[in-house]
Amino acid sequence: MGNTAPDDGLLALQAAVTRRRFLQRLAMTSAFGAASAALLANCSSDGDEGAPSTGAASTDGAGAATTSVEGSGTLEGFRVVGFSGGGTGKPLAELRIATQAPGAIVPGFAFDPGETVVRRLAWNSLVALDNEGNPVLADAESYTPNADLTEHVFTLRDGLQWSDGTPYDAQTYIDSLLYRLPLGGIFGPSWLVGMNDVLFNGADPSTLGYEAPDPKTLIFRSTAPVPFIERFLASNGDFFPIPMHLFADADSSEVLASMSDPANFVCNGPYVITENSPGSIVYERNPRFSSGGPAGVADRVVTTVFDAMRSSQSFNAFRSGELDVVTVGANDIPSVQADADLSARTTQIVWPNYNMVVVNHNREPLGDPRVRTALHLAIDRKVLAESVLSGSALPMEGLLSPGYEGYDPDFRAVDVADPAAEAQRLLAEAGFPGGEGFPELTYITQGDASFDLISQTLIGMWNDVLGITVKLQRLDPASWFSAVITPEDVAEWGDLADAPWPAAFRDPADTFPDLLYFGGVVYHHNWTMPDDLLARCEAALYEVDPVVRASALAEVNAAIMKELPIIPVTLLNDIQVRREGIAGQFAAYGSEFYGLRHVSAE
Amino acid sequence: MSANGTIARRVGRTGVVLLVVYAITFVCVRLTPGNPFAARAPRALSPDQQARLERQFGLDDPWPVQFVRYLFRALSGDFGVSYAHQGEDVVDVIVARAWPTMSLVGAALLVGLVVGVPLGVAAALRNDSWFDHLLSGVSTLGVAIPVFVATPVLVIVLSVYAGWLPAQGWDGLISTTAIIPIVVLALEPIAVTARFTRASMIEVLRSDHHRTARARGLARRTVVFRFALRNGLVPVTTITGLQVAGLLGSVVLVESAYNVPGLGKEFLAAITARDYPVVMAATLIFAAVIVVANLLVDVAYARLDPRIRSA
Amino acid sequence: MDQLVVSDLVVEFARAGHRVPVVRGVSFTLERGRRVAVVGESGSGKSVTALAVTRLLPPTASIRSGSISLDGSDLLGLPERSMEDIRGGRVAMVFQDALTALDPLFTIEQQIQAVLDRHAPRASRQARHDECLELMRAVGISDPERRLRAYPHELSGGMRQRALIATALAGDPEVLIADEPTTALDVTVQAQIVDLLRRLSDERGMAVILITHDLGVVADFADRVVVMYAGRIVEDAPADELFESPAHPYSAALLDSLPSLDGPRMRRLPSIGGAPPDPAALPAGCSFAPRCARATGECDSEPVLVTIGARRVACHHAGTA
Repeated sequence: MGNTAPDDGLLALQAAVTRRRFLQRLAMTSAFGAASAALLANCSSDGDEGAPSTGAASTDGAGAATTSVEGSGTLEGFRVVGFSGGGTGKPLAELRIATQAPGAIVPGFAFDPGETVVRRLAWNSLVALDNEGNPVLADAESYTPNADLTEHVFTLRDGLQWSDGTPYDAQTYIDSLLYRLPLGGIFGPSWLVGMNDVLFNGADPSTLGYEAPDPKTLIFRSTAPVPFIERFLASNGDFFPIPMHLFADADSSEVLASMSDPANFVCNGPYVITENSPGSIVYERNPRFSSGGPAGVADRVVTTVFDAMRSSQSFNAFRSGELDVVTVGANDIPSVQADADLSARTTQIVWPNYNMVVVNHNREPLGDPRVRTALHLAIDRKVLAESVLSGSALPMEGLLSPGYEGYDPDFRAVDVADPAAEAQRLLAEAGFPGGEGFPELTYITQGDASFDLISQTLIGMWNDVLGITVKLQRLDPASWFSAVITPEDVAEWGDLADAPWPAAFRDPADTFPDLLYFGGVVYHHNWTMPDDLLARCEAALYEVDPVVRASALAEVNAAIMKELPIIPVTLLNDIQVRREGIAGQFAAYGSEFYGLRHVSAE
Repeated sequence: MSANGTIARRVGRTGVVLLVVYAITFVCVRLTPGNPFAARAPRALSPDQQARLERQFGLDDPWPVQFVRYLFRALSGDFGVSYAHQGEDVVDVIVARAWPTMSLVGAALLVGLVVGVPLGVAAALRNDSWFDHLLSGVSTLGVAIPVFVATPVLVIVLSVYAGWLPAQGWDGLISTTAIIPIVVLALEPIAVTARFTRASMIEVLRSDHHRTARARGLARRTVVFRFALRNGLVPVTTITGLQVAGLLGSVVLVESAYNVPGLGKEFLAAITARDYPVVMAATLIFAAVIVVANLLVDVAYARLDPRIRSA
Repeated sequence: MDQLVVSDLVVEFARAGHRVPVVRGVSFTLERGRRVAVVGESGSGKSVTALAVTRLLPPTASIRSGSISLDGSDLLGLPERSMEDIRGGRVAMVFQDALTALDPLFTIEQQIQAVLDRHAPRASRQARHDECLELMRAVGISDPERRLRAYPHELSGGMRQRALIATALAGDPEVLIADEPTTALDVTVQAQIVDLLRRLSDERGMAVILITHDLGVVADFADRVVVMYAGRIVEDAPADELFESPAHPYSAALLDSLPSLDGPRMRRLPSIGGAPPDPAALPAGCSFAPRCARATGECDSEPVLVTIGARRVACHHAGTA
């Protein structure tokens, strides 16, 4: 995913300019080896899957960036795995899972959990994800990056065809992106040559660094090294091909509407949609599957549409035998833990599903770092993660989550023996001893049950430890979005808000800048990163030597956390249960982590 | 002539009601913060992107212009394209989901009458007996238990523990998935119908004409079922019309609670997603159903009571 | 021959936990084919007595004692089933307000047919319809074909009362009890209805009990008049005798309050002073004494109903006037 989309023209321009300058400098100074795969392989040095690392030109087995959190003592009762990790590969006649209503059943027209499931099952791009969640070649037959990772050449397989038998090639890929660009749903990536100009300055899309010199070859040119391009392509719907022979001369709405009838549905993934109703989408094998990558273990996948993942509703459906695998919400975890059989078939999936508190630095006294630190230290993350959220979350102290280079589970933003006492001391030092004279703050939260649980706990802890009063303002997601993400007055949107952030895929180059680098594009903390810190951050993000990169990221993380521009709280994990006879798991959300094709018989 | 005049006035009034509902919905929907595109995008939209999308969907025009356009298109049956269901015509979105909703409401109404009326009659015939008191207690519960409580309770008991019924979903009206939602929805109609039937039957059983019928030697059974019941049902008919409105409210909650892919669930989802065209169309459908239901009630009323017919 | 014999009938109403007697030891007989008028102010117990005969008393009322027999068989001891055969079939009632006494939701024909089906089942549709027409003609309704299809609210007051009588006749009863059948009607129609009842009685040999508060409608109708006051019969006399010389002061007062047929039409009616007693708080002695011009110390004791010639009267002063 790209990191674009500022919320006003000036910011957009500043951001684009800053970013280009930074990337240019990076391109000049960095020395790149055959680094991409090595980098990724290194991430998994402590992973328990232990996939062998191979050369850069081949992506099969790029290494699992799995992070074990076993033995952390916080997750008793669960079998803990990393981001993904699959089944036994044994065929399964039918798999029944929960999903959400897809905004569209064709990639690049919507981006939501429901759409991601459709994309994972019915669509293929150049790269797909294997059993362990790692990139493997799919439509591509081979892949060659240049030395500095700024040019990536993919060679397509022979005989690629849509499920209706129509052949497609590299030009289809190009046409697919160009077709969707003017529709407004393409958000990047900003590293692709020309993309910022096309998105923000109305440049001609033919200037993009995305070319098909011949039907078998696709070239990506980037303004910076892109070591993660395989993961990006496996995850990002915008670069999936769409059946241009249907869309080319038609109104996209009409084609999408027609494709919602399974008789007219055309795709290129291992499954086709055979039934499509508002409550359920059924997939069966695509007899004309011509691509590579995993072909899917189940012969038939039945997805039932729910309003929310992790709901009691889907958990009850699982318990009454209507679903095979389900992700359990925090409310239902105690009943899983109480059931020995169920606990034995439970998996905890750790993924970068951030939950933070965004703080408006413009509002006094939140501009005072001592106050922010006090708020940070007053949170007992262990109690929150283990008791309140029943172990379905990990305490989070920094911006790096498991799976990122430089992540250290023992990192503390402020390392003191007695955090509560230190919090009280800092607040007193800031002029509010015992919370006296501290203004009442407003905390804006989304209506979701687990957010509500977290918000109320935080407010309680702040009150207990600091003696301050925070008022909870519950909004529905769209209202929350317009209050916190796109406020009319960026400086005055409010005091505090919950900041959930499911990172689209596992690279800090995606996460860091979105959170912090653009200084409030995503969350309006109104904090500007000091220039020197910005420089260190930029250097660390695009450092290619994995060891240097890890330590540089850890240092940057620590430096940023000294300022506490945003208060990290927890990482929300997926607790997944599966019925007897099923192996493997998939995450509820987070485009990289769908092991759907890999759930299998035990 | 006067009948035609009445009908014309009726239709006119119906049109005005629907127009007002449409206008109020339009304003409410637009006053709600948030916009249909921002929250669905993986990133915050740039003003450019936002503007482009708004232009594409005609949201950049002033409200009155948008409203008039909505209205005239709606009059020709064109409700536009859903924002949340990419490319899908709003009419298709509605049609695909209308059947579960309408069949649930219809079935609950029917169950309400089929169960509620006999219960009410029985209670009236045994006025002040233990059965009467039990029924009045139980019917208070029926009205008091909210559907979003009743649904999960039934699911836990009947699906999760007993394993008799599915815990969610919709396989059609004639399927095990319909049982829990219909039962939950029918609770209030049963209770209300039973209460009204009881009250009106007690009144009828005390009436002069009931006494006349008895004085003619007609057996109690004949009098109750051939004559009194029809009298007793006149006020129940009115209540049944009002219940349609109540049921449309409940069905939204029940569909969400039982994961029924119907209009009610879609309505909530559309509000959450700020899918304006779907919200507008669904509101109109709901309003139209209420209007039609009340029309049917008036027809039934007139059929039952000749005094209304000639009035 | 005595067809209907009511003796010592006591009916009580439950009111606020107390039992209030509203009919206190009423006895009278009705001979086959004869016409009796029961006259009294409202609350005198006349309607309750009639309802007791058909056992249609409201649930709050109960028959304390006494007996009612029809052709020698005790009606009070009959099971409800058998009573249903008697109601409408042998003893029919016509209630006062035909608008409420007829079911508003059904046509006249439907309501007559229901009674026919019950007491005189006819095989064919046509036969039943013909019977309805016959009954409509019998009660003097013109254009019966059309009126049969009408609903009660579509008929005029008099027509409605005739239709109500038609439903009563459908069971071909031996005794017709008409409870204030003319109250809601204007004077001309009142006379027509009373005429009709008399004609029907003559034609069918049907005994009629006419319950009314208006002695005026009784004169040309009844063979005998029973006057009730505060739950008791105060006088029971052949009609001509009563009109000639009422024995009880109350009867006399009722007669006095009649508009004179000879006098100026607008002459103010002398009404009886005072109001009937509350049945829950009856005065000791003669109930009428407080309103009676002739009350004396004697009246402190309750007078018994004594037979004097062809009449019965309950007054200490009877025969002394």
